[in-house]
Amino acid sequence: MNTDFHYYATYCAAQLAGYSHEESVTIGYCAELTDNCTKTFLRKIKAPLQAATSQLKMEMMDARTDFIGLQDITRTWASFHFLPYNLYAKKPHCSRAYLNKYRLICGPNSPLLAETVNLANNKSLQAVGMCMHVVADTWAHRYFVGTTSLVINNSNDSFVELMPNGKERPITFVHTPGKPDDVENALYTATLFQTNENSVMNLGHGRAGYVPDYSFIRYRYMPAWADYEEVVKDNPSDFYHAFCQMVYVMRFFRGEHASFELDRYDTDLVAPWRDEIMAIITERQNEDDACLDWKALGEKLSGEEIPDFSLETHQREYIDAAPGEKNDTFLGKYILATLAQKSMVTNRIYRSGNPLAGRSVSYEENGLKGLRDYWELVFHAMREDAP
Amino acid sequence: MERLLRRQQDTLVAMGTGVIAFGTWSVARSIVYFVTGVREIQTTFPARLTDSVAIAVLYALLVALLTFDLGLRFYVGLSARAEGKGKRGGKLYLVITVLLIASYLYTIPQDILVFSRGRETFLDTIASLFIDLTSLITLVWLLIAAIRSRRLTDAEEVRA
Repeated sequence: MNTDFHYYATYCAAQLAGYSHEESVTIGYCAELTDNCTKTFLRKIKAPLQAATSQLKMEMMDARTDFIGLQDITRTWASFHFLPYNLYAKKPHCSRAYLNKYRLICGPNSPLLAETVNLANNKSLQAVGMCMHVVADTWAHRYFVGTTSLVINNSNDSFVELMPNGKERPITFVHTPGKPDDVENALYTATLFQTNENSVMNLGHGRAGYVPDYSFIRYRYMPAWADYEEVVKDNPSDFYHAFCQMVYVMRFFRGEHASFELDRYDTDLVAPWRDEIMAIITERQNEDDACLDWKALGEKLSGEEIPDFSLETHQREYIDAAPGEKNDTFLGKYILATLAQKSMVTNRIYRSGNPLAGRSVSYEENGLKGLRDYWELVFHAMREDAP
Repeated sequence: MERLLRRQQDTLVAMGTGVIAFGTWSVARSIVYFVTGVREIQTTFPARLTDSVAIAVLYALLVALLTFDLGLRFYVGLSARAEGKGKRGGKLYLVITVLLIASYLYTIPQDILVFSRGRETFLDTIASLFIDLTSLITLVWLLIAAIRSRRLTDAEEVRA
C-alpha cells in the first residue's frame, strides 16, 4: 500500500479505535515509516542496520543476490510487507526449492498475523504502527512473495482491469521508472522481465508494478504460481477489509476486545463512515490525491490538523540521545519493535524447515550468538525485568 | 477446463518459438557446413566438381532448399504462436508438422548409423543429434498441444 493508506488511513482507523490525535499520529507515522526505514536511513542515524524494514531502489540494485544476500532480502520483505500465509503449505510434484518459495506466499488472516498482533500487544505505540503496516499489506500484497522469485511473482500479458461498468480493459506494463502511472489509460510501470530466478526485478509485486497498491482497481491476472488459474483481486473490498481489521486490532490493543481472532473486522463501528471511506477507496486517482482525501477524513474525525509525514521528524532525538537512552526515544521504540518482528518471523520461517530467511538462533539454548543487532532485544528485556 | 486450455495455448506459443529457433539453427548449421566443407563436397560427388558454374548451381539449389526448409519452420512456428494467442489456425501447419516429424524420424537413425560407421567425429554427431532430438520433441509436443487445444476449444463451444 501507499502513503495514503499507511499514514492517513491508519490515522483514521486509530481515531475510530479510540486513540487520541497524538497517538493516532504516532501510529500512522510508524505505519508509514515501515516503508521508509531503510539501511540508508538507519546508517544516517547510526541505528542497528538489522532494523531495516524496507529497501531503497538503489539499495536493491546493489544488493547481493547470493544465498546470504537473498536471506537478508527475504527477512526484510517477508517480515513487514509480505507476511507468509501458510508456512506448511503442501504442493505436489514440485522441488524443495520451489516449495520453500511457495510457502512464503502472502495472504491475510494467517497464523503469522496472529503472532504479529500478539507480539505488538502491550507494547509501544510504535509497535502498534508497525503492526498496522503489516496487517494492511497482507491484504494489498496477497498472492505475492517477499523474496526474489520469477516462478512465483511473475505474471504474463493476461493482466486485465475489471471496470465498474462491467467491461474489461487490458493493463499494459511499461518500464519507465520515474514516470507516474497513467491510471486513465491503464499504463503502469513494472520491473523488467528477467529470466534469472533470483533477480531483484522478481521481488514482491515488482512484476505487477504498483497495481496491487491502488485501492480503486479490480483486476484479473494469472500468477506464475497458480498453475494457469486466474486470480481476481478486488482491491476496494480488500482495502476496506484491511481498514476494518486495523480498527479491530487496535481496539484489541486498547483492551476493548478480550482476545484477538483472525478474520474479524469492526465493520459495525466503521459503518457510519463506510460511504465516505468507500468513496475515497473507489475514486480513480493517484496517490497524492488519495492522501488529500484520507487526510480530510482524518481531520474531520479528530478535528485536528494532521502533520505531513517527514522522515526528518524524529531523527535528531535519536541521534542526540545517549547510548543507554536511545531505546526510550521515538525511533528507538520503533527500532525495538521492528527487531522483534523480524526476529519472530525469521524464527517461524526457519522452524518450518525453510532456509530462505536464514538461520534463527535460540538465545536460551545457544547463548548470545548470531547477528549482534538482535541482542538488543535480550538486553532490553533484561532491563525491563530488572527490579 | 479454461485452465487446461490456457496451459495448452501457453505450450503452443513456447513450442512455436522453439520450432522457429531450432529451424534457424538448422539452417545456420547447414550454411556453416557448406561454407567450411567445400573441398569435402567436391570429393563427395562421383565426378569431381571443377566447373564453377556447376558449383554455383549446386549452391543455389542448396540455398533454395534451406530457404524452403526455414520457411516451413517459420510457418509452423508462427501458426502455432498465433493459435496459442487465441487465433484459430488452419490444418495445413499441422500437416507440415507431421511431415517434419517424419523427416526427423528418418534422419536421426541415419545420423546414428553414420556415426557408428566411424564416418563422423564424435562431438559433431552428438551435438547434431542432441539438437535434432530436441527439435523432434518440440514438434511432437507442439502437435499434441494443438490437438488438445482444439478439442478443448470445441468442447467449450459446445458447452456455450
